[in-house]
Amino acid sequence: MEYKYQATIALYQLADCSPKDDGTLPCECYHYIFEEENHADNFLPISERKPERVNSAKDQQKCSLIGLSCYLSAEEATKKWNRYNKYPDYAFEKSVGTILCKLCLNKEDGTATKDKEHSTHFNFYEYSSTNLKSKILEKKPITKQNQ
Amino acid sequence: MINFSKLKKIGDIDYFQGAFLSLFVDEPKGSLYLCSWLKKLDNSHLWLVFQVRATDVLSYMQQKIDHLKLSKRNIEKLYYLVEIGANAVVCNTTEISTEEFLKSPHLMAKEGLFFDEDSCEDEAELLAFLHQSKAFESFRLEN
Repeated sequence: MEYKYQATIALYQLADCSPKDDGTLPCECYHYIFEEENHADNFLPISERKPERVNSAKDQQKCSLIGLSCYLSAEEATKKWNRYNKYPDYAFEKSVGTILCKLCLNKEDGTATKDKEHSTHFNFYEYSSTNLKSKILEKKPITKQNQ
Repeated sequence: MINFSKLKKIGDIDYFQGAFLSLFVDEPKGSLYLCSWLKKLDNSHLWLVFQVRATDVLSYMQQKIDHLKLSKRNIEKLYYLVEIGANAVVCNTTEISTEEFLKSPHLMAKEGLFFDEDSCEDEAELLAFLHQSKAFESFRLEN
């Protein structure tokens, strides 16, 4: 199966970008999106968001650039969102949105790779035929904590 | 004025779909710089860059101090606002004084933003580098 962002893999010469299926899929998971349904950045990995948030040419060698961040737990996703939103001027919520989107992902949709064995976070590498909008189970505003 | 393009990246201390807080070194001097994300602009991203001691970065990674305290431990009198655009090209660099930084809450993280090992992809490499830099800092102070 071909990845949706195969052109980026080729452009940046991500030679080692062959994400391993670590058994995370199938699963229900959580991903941040913008409230506006057709927001241009919804379901886009960092490599496709313009301008990309990179601070070194070395960043463009990272396979995770074409991965979408997802969490297996709504509580963990909410906790991490609130942590990242402590960066100056609430720039994080302006960058990823304020909605927690629950998705149902299967092995036919792409490949999932956890950063660390016991992590609830994984990168999801979408196949070209996948339509993530059709995988949405639920959308809820993220609960803001102590901000 | 700092030439950010000449700094070498060691790794990302905080990462979520891209870098948030990264460590750089000015070789061969060995001076360390942190590059902390501020916001997205129209054609670039704005970053706060400042010089730090390895000891202070280690304190942050050991959760002894938060991001706000770390950013106030700049060892120079200047902070740099660096705009980085497509393909990691530096578009603009502006200096601001420590006084100006301290009067600019929009440039500072909220209190309680502590290191999170789940968000650090390069922890082992960063710690190894920082311990080596710390030893080098101690050697320079003693001599």
